[in-house]
Amino acid sequence: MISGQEAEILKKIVKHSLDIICAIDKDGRFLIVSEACKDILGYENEELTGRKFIDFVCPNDRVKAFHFIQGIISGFRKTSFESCHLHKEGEQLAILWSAFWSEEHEALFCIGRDVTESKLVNEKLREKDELYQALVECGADMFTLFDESLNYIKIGGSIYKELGYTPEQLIGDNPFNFIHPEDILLVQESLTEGLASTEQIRLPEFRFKDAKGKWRWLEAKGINLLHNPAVKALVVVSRDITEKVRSRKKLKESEKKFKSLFEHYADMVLFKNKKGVIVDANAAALSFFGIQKQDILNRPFSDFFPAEVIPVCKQTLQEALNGKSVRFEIDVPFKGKDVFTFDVVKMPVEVDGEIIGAYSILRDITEISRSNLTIRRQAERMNTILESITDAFFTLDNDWNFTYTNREFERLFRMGRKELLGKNFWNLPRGPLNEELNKQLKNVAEEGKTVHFDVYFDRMDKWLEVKAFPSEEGLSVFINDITEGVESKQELEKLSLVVNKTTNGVVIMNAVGVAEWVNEGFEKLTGYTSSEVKGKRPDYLLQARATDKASVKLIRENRKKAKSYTTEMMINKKSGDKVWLLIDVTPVLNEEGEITKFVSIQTDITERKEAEESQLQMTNDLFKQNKDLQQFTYIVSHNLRSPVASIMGLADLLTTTVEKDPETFNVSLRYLKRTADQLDTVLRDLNQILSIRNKKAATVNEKVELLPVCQQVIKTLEEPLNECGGKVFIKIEEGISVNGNKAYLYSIFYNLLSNSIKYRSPERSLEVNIKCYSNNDTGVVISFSDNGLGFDMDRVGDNIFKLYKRFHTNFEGKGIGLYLVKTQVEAMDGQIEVNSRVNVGTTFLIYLNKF
Amino acid sequence: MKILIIDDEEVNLFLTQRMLVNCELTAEDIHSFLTAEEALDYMQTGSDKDYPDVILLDLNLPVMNGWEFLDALVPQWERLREKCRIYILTSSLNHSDEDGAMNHPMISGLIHKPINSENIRIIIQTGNAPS
Repeated sequence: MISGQEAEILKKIVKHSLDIICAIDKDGRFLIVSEACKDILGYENEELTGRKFIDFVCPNDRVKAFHFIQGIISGFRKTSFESCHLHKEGEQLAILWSAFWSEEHEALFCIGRDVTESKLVNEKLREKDELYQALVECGADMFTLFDESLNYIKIGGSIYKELGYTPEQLIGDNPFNFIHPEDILLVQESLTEGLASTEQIRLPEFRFKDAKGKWRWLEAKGINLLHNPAVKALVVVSRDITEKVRSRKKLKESEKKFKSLFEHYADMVLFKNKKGVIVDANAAALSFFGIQKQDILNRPFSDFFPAEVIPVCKQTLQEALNGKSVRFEIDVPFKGKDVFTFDVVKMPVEVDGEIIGAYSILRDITEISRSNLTIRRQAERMNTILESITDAFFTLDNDWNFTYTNREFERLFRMGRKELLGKNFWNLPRGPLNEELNKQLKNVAEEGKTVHFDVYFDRMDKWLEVKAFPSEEGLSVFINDITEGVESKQELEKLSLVVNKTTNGVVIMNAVGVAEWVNEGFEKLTGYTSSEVKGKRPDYLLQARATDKASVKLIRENRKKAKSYTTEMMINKKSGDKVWLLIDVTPVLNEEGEITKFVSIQTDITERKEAEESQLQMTNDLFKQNKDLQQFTYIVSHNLRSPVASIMGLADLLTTTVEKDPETFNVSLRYLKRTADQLDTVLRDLNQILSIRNKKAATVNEKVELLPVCQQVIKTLEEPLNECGGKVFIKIEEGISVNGNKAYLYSIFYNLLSNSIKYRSPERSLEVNIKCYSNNDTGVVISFSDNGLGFDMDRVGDNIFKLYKRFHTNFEGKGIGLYLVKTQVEAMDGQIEVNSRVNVGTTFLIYLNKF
Repeated sequence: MKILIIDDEEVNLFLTQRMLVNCELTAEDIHSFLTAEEALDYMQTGSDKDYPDVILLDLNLPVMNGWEFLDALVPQWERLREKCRIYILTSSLNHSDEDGAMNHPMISGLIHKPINSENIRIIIQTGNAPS
């Protein structure tokens, strides 16, 4: 039981409680209500007591409240409920009731707290939460909460949408299991740093594996709220930036690409701003100008180009700045360098619709333009050459269409170039050129081999020489009019036939006389074959010698003057036989007048030469005979006439003086007899001489040993020798014999020894030396000398051997002895010489043939 | 009249002398020489009054022949020509001898052997006649 004091305290507590404390009966009527109801509901105690609780509940809540109360009364355990009430002033109030039923008092004790305020706050809070939730769910960001071990504790936002993970798949797991291994370290570092501070954590971009296993780029920010008991988590907001990263990468790449392209572009690239100042230049440009980048940047382009080209550059730049691409070629004469030719492109550069400058791309085409020029010149030259060649010339392409004809071709075929170019060879307006030509050209095209042939064109009555060269482009054909050549060739062939078949020898020699060609006639004439002569000097081979000095001189002079000459020569045939040739040599000169060849024509003149020789022999014989005849005439007129005249005179004298002068008669008679004898001697001499001459050939071919003949002569003349005390010394090689006539040799020795005795010197006794020795293989020399009177060689000379020449007076001499000696020596095919000195002696040398 | 005879044959000298004597010439006035050398010596050594009126010269002589003798006389010819006439006396029938003699300025005439009285008469007459 509660003491009074206690009851007093309880009373006070109820009275001052901020919550409504009340009791309600089983009908739901207030039994007792604490004073707090005035503060909360605005009703006085009296106004409530006895009244139904339900009446003070908002109409919307009355059913719920009724059931609840009934439930408590009926013994349901739930003791708390909230219901909405109306303030006296009409305001709705939320009151949280806690109640229990007391059977003892048959009353429901209730405590009610005004929760309007907190409910309102809660409501607002809830609303806000929903908003956030909606925002989170609908936004692109992903929200995650981590515990201190960095395990997922809560995830939200667009995680599923973005990465495909449901919260269940992640919660409890560690995010590092999903982060790209290369990025883990960076993320960890940032986290460690961030967790140490209270500031916002900014994580680096990292890759995160999505539900499909693909890497996604994420960026994330976090706030450390682990220390906040209401949160106790690391809150991280992340966003998928894969696209952004990708496009950023792409941008970077394309930027790089562009830069690289710019830098490495082979041609010079200059970027100029609107004022013409160079803002950028690539490596090629720097290399061309040979300067560093810093030296070219921010300088006007006009600093780098010669003044001549500046106006054009400025004008084109302006055009580019006006939004138009310009392309042009320009020759730039850099100072101290060659003239460069550039192909220039200028392009405007537009940023946000505004032109900020222009790119200039300069391509150095100096070489190209030069080679273009060269090619053009060469083409022109080629054209000139093709036009100027004397051959007619045309080309066909692979489809047999004419691609070129030169002037000579047009002239030769009387066809215009326009008429032919592009026309097909097989379908010419005036029909095919020539069948043979067509056939050959077809072959050339098929076999791809060069051909060279001569063809006769009836249409023009001409011989043409055709050379056709196949090439990848088609056919090149050269045509040369050789009509004259062919005709002269035919002429030449005829001539060649003549030269070859003629009986004359023909040799063609080079400038130094070496044979290059010989005809059949030469082979027959000399016995040497063509191959034996070629490459040799025919004159050496044939041992040809001009026989007389005049010929040698003639040959030499004519060769020097490059004149033709004719000479006669004896040559040795291969067989050794000798042949006389009439040789006619004509030099062949080149345009400079130098000798290039000799043409020698030989005619066999042996017969003529032999005839000439025999004629010469005959002439000589005749001459000699004639001389003999003259001699005989002389003899007749002097030596015969002289005694005859004497006899006539004596006879005359005898007839007139016989009677009156017997003395004269007798003398005359004596003279008459002597003169008659003399006449007889002359006649005998003549007879002897004539007989030697006539018998000449028949009588000289016997073997005559000299020693016995000599001894016989000495014996015959022994008496006169002894009378004058003369001595003869003989020195004759033993067994030596000559081919001759014994009687002649006897006569020779007899005459010579007689002369020696007759013309001996009165001052000394006579000595005669006869020597005989071999001269050479075929000859014998007889030397006959005395120490007699001798004679004057200057005065007498060869007259010593003449008939009836006498050189000594006071001596008996007929003048026939030495004449006989000479005649006999010559009859034996020998020779006689004489040498003499007055009062010293005389020596005769006789050359005879050895037997 | 003084006459020189040059001939290598004794028989000819004898014959000519006899013929001259027969024609009333005195033997003392006739000088005979067997060689030209001897005759030349006579001509060159003797005085002008010894010069003969007539020389009868044979051409065919040994060592020095008639022509050579004439050549040797050329130096004195200017003095000689007024007085002396030279006749060739030859047995030769050779025409060249004859032509040579007729054209020679020193020769007055040619006589073929044997000499006869007619020849001598002409010689003497010509010698007496004013030249």
